[in-house]
Amino acid sequence: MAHIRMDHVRQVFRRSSGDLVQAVSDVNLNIANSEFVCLIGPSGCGKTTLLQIVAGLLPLSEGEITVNGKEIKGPSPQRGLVFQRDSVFPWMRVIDNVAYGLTCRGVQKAERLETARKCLQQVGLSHVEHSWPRELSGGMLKRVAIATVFANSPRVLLMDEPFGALDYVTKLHLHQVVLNLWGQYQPTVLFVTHDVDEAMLLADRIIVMKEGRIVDDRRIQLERPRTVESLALPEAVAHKEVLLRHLGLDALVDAARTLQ
Amino acid sequence: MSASVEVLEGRKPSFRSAIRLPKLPVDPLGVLGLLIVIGAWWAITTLGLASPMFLPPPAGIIESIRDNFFASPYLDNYHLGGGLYSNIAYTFSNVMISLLVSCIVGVGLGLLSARLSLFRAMIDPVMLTAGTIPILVTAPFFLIWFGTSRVAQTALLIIYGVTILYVFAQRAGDNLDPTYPSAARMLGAPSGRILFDVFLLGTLPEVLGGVRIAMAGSWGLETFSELLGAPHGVGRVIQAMATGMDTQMMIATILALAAVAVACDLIVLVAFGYLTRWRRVARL
Repeated sequence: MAHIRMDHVRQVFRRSSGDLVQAVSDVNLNIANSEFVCLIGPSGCGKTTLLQIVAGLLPLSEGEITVNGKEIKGPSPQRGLVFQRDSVFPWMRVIDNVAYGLTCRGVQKAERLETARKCLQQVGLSHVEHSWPRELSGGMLKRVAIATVFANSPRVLLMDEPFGALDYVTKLHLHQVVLNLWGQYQPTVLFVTHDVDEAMLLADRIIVMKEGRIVDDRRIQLERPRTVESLALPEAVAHKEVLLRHLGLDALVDAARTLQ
Repeated sequence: MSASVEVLEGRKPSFRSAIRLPKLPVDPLGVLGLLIVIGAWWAITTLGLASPMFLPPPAGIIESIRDNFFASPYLDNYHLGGGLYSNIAYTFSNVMISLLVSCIVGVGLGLLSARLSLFRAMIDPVMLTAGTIPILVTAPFFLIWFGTSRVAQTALLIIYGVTILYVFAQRAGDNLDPTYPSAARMLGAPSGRILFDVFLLGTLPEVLGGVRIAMAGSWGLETFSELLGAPHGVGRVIQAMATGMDTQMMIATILALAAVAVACDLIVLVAFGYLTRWRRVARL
């Protein structure tokens, strides 16, 4: 569990032309222990940049980000990141991938294999522990990536559009996997997505970013466990309308209203 | 459960599938071509179409290898004691030592340059210049600097191998998906581990291609370097035989070296196949 605090976070990049680009502008945010927060916004709004700063992969230009009161100074196994792209090492067997973080921390072989097997079981992949990643499907690889992160017992789980490239059914299965693990380990989750339905199914809270700034912060109080049917509830529809308008889809919302 | 999952369930890798020995690249048409060349060679020499001084018969070549392999009073006359075996061993050891040093230095520098742009800016001009100079023209310099000792030949081969492996390793490092090192950092891997576990293992398939190319070129370069001056080695044997106009022994020496080079290449191919066995599994 961890409490994340962001104070006046600002991130500036220099383009090859020499121009400065402000990717994140004066972001202030508090995320409570074990809260599941989804960060949505149009492409290029700074959500992935913000996630990478929290991960410690990008140095901060200005401001401060703390996790449990400690300033972030680089990557840490306490903050697990599930990447958008495949991050499972194809040259290591599945079990070695899942145990990799523990290997880096010098955990004894028997202990790390036990932990890795437990994590693989939790994501439903016990039967492929000796397989090579190339033998797995895209959905299975995402499960391995999730198991790898959870094997490190992170206090913060960061997810960068992890299921963007997956089909609808696989995505729904993986939502369940993530929610089960979140329920069991209670990490604080910051989940970047551009999929409004995904955010509504998963999050306690949805933060909307636009042009580097937070423009909306909504609590989603739909009852859990949520299903696809939950998205048809009036409260969900109201949230969705606002979120879609934030994403610049006013015409779509207006058309849907006309049909009603 | 999807079909792909069912297929994978209960799979226990057998010893053979775990090792995944690649099939030896024996092309029947290639073997046929080789047999045609040997047949033509045999026919020319048997029919007396060429003087044995210019083209000795295949049987004579085999005889020369057999009679001079482990001990050869004939080669002793040229101060090349220990038979063909000893001279091939000298050439072989030089090639292997140079290849090992080239791998460590060339791959290390190549991967570092792929990661550190400042280091790359400093070392790229040096390596690229070294790569563009025809390596054979530098051989006399090594002879002047190190004499006819083993150091002269290995230094030449190391320069050659390092420049090749530097380029291969750098390109492989550039091509590696940046997600992998980031993922390793997020899992708590220190820099040294990332270099080995991610950069080295992840670039191995591309780097190993460079190792084979460097090794293939090294046999010829080593022999040439020995021709210029060496205490021992296949190049020295060929030089001595050329002085004595002994074509049969010259061809025997060249073919014996070629057999060693082909055997080394096959061993390396099998070893590399094992190290990169993860690439050959069926992709879903």
